Amino acid sequence: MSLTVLKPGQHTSVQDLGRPGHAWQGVTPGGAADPLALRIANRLAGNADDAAGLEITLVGPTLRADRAVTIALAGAQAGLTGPGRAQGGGKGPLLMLRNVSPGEEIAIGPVGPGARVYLSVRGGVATQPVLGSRSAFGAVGLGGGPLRAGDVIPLGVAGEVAGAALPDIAGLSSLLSEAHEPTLLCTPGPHFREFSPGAIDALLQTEWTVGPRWDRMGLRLEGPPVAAPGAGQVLTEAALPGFVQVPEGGAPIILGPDAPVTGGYPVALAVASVSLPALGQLRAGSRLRLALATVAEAGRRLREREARLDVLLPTRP
Amino acid sequence: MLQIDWSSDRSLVIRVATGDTPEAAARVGAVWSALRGAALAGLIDATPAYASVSAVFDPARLDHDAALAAVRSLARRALDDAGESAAGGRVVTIPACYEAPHAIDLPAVAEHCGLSPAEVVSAHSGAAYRVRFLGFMPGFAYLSGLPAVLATPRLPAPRTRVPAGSVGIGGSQTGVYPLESPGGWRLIARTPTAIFDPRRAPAALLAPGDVVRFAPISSAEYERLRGRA
Repeated sequence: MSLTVLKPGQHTSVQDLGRPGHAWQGVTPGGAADPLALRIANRLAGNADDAAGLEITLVGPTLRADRAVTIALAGAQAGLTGPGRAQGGGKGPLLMLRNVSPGEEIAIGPVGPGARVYLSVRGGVATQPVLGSRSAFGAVGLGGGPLRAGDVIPLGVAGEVAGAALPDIAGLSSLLSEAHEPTLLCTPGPHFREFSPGAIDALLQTEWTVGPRWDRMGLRLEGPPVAAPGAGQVLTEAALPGFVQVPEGGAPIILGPDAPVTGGYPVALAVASVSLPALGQLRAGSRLRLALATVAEAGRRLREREARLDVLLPTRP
Repeated sequence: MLQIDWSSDRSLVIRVATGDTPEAAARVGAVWSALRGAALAGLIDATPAYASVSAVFDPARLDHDAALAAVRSLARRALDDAGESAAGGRVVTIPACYEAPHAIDLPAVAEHCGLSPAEVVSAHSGAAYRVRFLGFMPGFAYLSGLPAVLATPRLPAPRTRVPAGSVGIGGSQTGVYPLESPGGWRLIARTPTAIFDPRRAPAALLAPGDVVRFAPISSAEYERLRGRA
């Protein structure tokens, strides 16, 4: 079973939940930029949360299945077209579960207002795992790069999905749109105390705009410059996705899932786990705010959302 | 020194020294080894750096207070047992060809250091280096121990393509590019050994704490070893 790529879209890659545990080897955790949307697509399709799917960025691909397959889509809004039908185009996030006939083309149009949509196929994408993950880490070619026309994506064997109840799409839609709210909850970063109170206030009170340079490595923010601690104040330390670095020029950078595992810039704030899905939906021109919370509050918010997700769409046994 | 803070809602940064010193390396190594050997609930990654170690947890299953207490007691015990300097570590010898066409910047490094090219090779391959940590790209090891006489500024503009296995000097640091990438270090040699190979376990040739030596080989030997790799 396979999917053939007829058109690759702007930047489509295979992603699962990444390869944590290898940072000591210099290997970034990577994985879906919006892990919540991938997990929802997987659950809709009857897969485990960590199955690999396609991460679709800005403009979707056109694909053709060689057999009958069940696909699920979750993420930013996008237009989905097939022979004789067009769907999507409504308000709110995209959530869809669909059976596709052999030979039928799946065309996913422009994505927006967010950046990414995830496509899961029942059975999962079955490319060769590298270091425990199928995620593409394009910068070094681990797990393959972005899809190209003519690529054939192998699919796993789909298990029987017994008695699946129709999911509560309205409930999931409100969960996902709340998760994508562009106010990113942050906790203090590793160099929070090196920043002046004024610099932290500036970070928290500015409405930031994502600049034109953004990718899976990181987002550069545009707004009034933030006073950074002096050069040489920090030694190179471990870096994580969601770290809000402030280099000397004062323009903050938020690290993405493919950022290097170490960094030498001072880090004022760290985007909380509960807000990583929203970070993964930002694109050039997106506006965002940063809000400060304690780690206890950030943890409570994450657990609340996870509990809600498990009620709306339980993982399959 | 032992200072532990949340660096995000899912990671602790454990700072054990203030500078990049051999004593810091020993303390970092002790804490990193202890974390790797411990079965801490929800711990998914531990990353050493110059003077700190980061511990990353699965946020969905994280009890912040319990994790902080467990890491604090583990780090205290590890530091009590740590020596003044990093001990042990595997010795890894990396064959390196310091001849053309693999040593494109060797003449410039020699001129900058006021040495002959042969003296640069002798000094670089005569030193023992310690792997402090890995980062920047998969398999890239930050090495300490470059003889001060060999320090040479980076290129004014980085090259767009540095071949995998290139051995370079950048400021007071030396290292090996594991994968083809852009880079601004001065290239003085190249190794036929795979520094990062995802089919291998572990994929990275070097690990924190290893001692690295470079063994000069001829270009004929380079070709022979490369053919075998």
